[in-house]
Amino acid sequence: MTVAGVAERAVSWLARRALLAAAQREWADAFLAELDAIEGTGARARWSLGGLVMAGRLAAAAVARRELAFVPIALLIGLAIAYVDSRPAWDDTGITAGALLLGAGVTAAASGRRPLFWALLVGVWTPIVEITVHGQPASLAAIVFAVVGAMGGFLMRRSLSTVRPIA
Amino acid sequence: MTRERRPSEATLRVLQALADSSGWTHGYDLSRQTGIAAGSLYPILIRLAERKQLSSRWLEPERPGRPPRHGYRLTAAGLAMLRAARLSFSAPSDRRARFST
Repeated sequence: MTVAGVAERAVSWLARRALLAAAQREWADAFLAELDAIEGTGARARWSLGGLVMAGRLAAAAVARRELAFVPIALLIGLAIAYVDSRPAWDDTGITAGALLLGAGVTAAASGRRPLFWALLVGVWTPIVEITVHGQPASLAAIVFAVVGAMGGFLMRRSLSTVRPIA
Repeated sequence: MTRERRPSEATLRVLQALADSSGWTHGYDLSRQTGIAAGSLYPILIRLAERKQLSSRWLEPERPGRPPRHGYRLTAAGLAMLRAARLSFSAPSDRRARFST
């Protein structure tokens, strides 16, 4: 399988997961059925990315007022990472990956909810910029780093908030 | 008293495409007709359905072996909204048309 094929499958899988988490079941199913129906048209990869965007939009609409304060912070972190990573002189992938882990982890820990939403908010910009500008589908790995970081932050926050004093 | 928000231009494009269609329309076809990307289209469809301006149903596949798809159609409320929006938007869009030429 080609790199593009693997990337398309990865985005499609992520879109499915994100939509099932963010959208009402019927609408998630409707979008995913359309995704299956257009297989072979060449539009499937673009629609998979659209699914991620849709999940982000729906999650953003549902996000609580308390969490809204973190949205511009997460966006700023994600866009800053994407900008730095897109510079021609930048070739330190390890620092980009670490920044994605940390950025998504901190915002997901601060929010304490919806780790996938924070992962997308921080991590989706790097592949969007890289694929659009440099045509590098391998940059989709950025979303994986953001998901891992956000899950770590979310689980850490949850484990801390469920600690009960010993009676 | 509740105030109805003005629909966005993208929402109007979706309403218009649905009004132009004689039957049920799929999301992919709507996206192609309106030029609106999937990530923006579906939140619009969800909003229209919640306001009862759009009806949706699962349609049998056109060819055997293909999955069933969701189809969309305007309701009377959706058509009324489009007509009302056309009236209120006619002046600004005329201005836009003049500026864009």
